[in-house]
Amino acid sequence: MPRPENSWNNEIPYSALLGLLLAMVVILSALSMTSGRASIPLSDLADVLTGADTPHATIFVELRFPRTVLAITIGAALGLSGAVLQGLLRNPLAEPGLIGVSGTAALGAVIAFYSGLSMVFPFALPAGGMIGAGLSVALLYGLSGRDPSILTLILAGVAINAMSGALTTLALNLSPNPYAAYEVFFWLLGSLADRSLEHVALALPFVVAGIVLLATTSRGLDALTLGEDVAHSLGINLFGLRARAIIGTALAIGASVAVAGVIGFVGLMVPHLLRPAVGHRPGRLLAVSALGGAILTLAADIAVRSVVVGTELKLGVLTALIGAPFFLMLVLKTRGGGR
Amino acid sequence: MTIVALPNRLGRVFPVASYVAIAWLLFGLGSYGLALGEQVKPKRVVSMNLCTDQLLLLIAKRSRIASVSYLARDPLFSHLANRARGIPSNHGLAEEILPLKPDLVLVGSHTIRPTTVLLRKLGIKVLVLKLAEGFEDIRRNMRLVGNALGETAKVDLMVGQFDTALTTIVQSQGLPTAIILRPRSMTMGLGSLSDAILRSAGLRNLSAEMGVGKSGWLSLEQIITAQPDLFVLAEFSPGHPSLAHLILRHPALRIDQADRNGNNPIRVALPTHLWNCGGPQVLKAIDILKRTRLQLVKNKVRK
Repeated sequence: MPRPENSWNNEIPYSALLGLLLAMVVILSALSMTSGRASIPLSDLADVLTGADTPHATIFVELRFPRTVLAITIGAALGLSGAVLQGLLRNPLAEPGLIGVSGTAALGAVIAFYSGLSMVFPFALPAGGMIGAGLSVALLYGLSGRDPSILTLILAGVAINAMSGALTTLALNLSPNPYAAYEVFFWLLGSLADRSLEHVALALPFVVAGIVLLATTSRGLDALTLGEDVAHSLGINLFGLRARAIIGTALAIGASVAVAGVIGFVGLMVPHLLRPAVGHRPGRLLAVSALGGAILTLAADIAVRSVVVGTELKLGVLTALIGAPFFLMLVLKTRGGGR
Repeated sequence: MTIVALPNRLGRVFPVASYVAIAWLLFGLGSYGLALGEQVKPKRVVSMNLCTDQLLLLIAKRSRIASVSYLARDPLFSHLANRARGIPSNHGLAEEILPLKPDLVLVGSHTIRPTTVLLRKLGIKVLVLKLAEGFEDIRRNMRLVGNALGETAKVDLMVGQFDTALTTIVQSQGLPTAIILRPRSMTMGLGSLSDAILRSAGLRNLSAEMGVGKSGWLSLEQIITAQPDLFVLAEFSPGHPSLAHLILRHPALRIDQADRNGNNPIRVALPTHLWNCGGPQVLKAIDILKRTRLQLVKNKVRK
């Protein structure tokens, strides 16, 4: 190992690492259930268990529970898809937000919502998001090829982001609602505030299906580090691998964006921070990135609830505030290492 | 006294001059009166703001209105949409206003500033109205527009009628509680026109009691914990999907099932055009709220 801190990190056994991350998810979930504007004694959880219809039980069951579940699954989807995309494109800067997947998912959701389709048929909302996300991953893969340079990938992402942004604005211009642009501006910042159990029912099946599909790419991604030819000779079906990564990302990110807006940089930061801990093996990175994504999203969502400034801070704003400098640092580092 | 004394004293020195002075005084006063008369009756009045539209349509004769804002025709937002029909509409652009050659332009204090500045530079009289945040503002704005239109007597009558209809109920303990709930869970508290409307209808505005100013935001958790007797909603705008309205449908608020379960707050939807602008139309909003309050009190007694 060239870097000593990696060898130190490698001393964490994989199962212990998983256990540690899982424990953090559990602790943060409990914290998430107890944070909010209304201060509720934990003893009032008894109301929930007895099924009493008190205001506090309502807040637990219909506000904080959906929020916590969505933070865990959407966070996991973001971390995992970041890890898979980075492995598949063999590029440390791949991330759903940066390469335009979240933006096109938002476009799909906006069209589904403002056309009125999702009013009649609720599942049109996640479906729109998933179609948008799927198109952009496929387009990106086609645009930048199998082994893109960082520059190609980022430029393709810029182009896709610009295009989806323009089309989203166009869709809003055509909407009969005069406040559409204003509403979507806030929604695009990403938030889990005031989501209901209906949102969970709408998004969860697809996000979980996407996570499962993405998790199956673990062995293929390990083989891919040796190059496509070697991976092929090891019996990896490259077409199937790519298809699972693309469809998995589309399902997980598309459905996530449809209910929570764009929560950026989680998929960039989490795999990067955890990569040394799993000895730079893309396969092992998947499970820990999913847990890490859940941890980061839960923690950020608790943080936005703890700061009291008029209307609640947006989750996506907080992750971007942490993530953007991180991205900059990563760009500088990769540029130095590339030479 | 001084005016009478002046020619006498002057007359001793310059007899002719005193007559000139008197003539000048008379003529000057006369022409001033004439100028006042002309100024008082503008014939081509333009309004560029939905709320100034309402006042103009209320007070001025139709023949004197050159243009109102495009929103004035929308019955959802405009109380006098019927009267606005057929009057040319504008979108607040100087290029639309200038060809109308207006002699008076009414704008709200939030209306696009560069346009206001440009119109003034071209010598057009512009009346800027601060939008009403209470009943006193309504009276003031009605008078300001009435005076500018030269309809002082008419407006005095209207303000008088408004005051007669507005009987304030003294705040007491047993009054039902209410929260105004607008899209994106926006609400109105102390110092807002909506707050004045609620109080006048005999309701306790919980948002104001929870420290919300003119307009602010309450989280769903705060709203559910506050347990109001009544939700005052803006009438849903039909036809177009809106993300901001989705929050009003959050199941935790129990708005949709409110009528079935007596424990839950009941809701009343006030038509937007009755309380978005200050004018005599707010009396109708107060009336709806008063009737709802009586219903609430009856329900409570029955339990």
